[in-house]
Amino acid sequence: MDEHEELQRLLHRELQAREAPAGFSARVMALLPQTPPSAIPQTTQRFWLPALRWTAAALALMGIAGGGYWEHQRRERIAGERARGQVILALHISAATLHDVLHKVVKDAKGDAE
Amino acid sequence: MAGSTLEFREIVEAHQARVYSIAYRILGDRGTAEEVAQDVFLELYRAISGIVSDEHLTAWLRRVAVHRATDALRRRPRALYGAAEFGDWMAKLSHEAASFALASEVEKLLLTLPPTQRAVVLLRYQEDLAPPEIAQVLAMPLATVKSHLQRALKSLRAGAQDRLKEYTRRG
Repeated sequence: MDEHEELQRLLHRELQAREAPAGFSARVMALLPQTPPSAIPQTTQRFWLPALRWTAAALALMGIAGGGYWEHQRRERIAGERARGQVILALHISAATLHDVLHKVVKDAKGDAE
Repeated sequence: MAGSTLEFREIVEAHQARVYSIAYRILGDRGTAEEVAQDVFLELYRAISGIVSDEHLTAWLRRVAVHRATDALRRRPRALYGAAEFGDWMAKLSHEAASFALASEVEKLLLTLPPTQRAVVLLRYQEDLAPPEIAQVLAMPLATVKSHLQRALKSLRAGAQDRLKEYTRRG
């Protein structure tokens, strides 16, 4: 047996698992939480938990997207109403100006005739 | 697995020697090794729903025990786990010195290796794993495992020869 094999044999022999200290398992059990990790059957829980997480995330995204769309529509409507108001005001101003001009023209024409 | 507390106790009793030995041989002191081993089983209790077979359980315990023990070792001040300073540290702590005296010569030599080499040697000779299995447990390339193992054996052989010379000189 060469030196390398001898060392390997020694390591195998000397590195057998040691006994844990007396009362180790009792101490571990005393540290456990009172309730078991889960009352739900594990396979069901493992299946549904990611599904629920993804559904909640999708609903949240849809909510955010829907809210954004509604806000965009509201702003468009307000901007449209404002533009309509401005057009009506401009038309009023134009009508009044035209009326004044017409009045002046008629008045001037009468003055010339006299 | 382990639907009840009783079953979990059986798991602890079946695997406590393995987990404790890994922690003890990486850390070199009994107190911290027991704390680490307890933490490993508490972590198992929380993760038990994901364990699908006995083989998976054993592999999980090996992996988590090695990682938690190595983490605990790295949390110590640097000087406390260097090979050269190890003797000084043991001399300072009398209760630790007592446990050190009980450790085998091979375990003492093991503590002179860097943490990763210790883990590789333990998985190879205590757990009897082949290098590809060690690579899987430690999540490292096979070539790295082989290189750690070769270096560790070289250091252990040199360490053993030094100790032999020391004994001869004393005798």
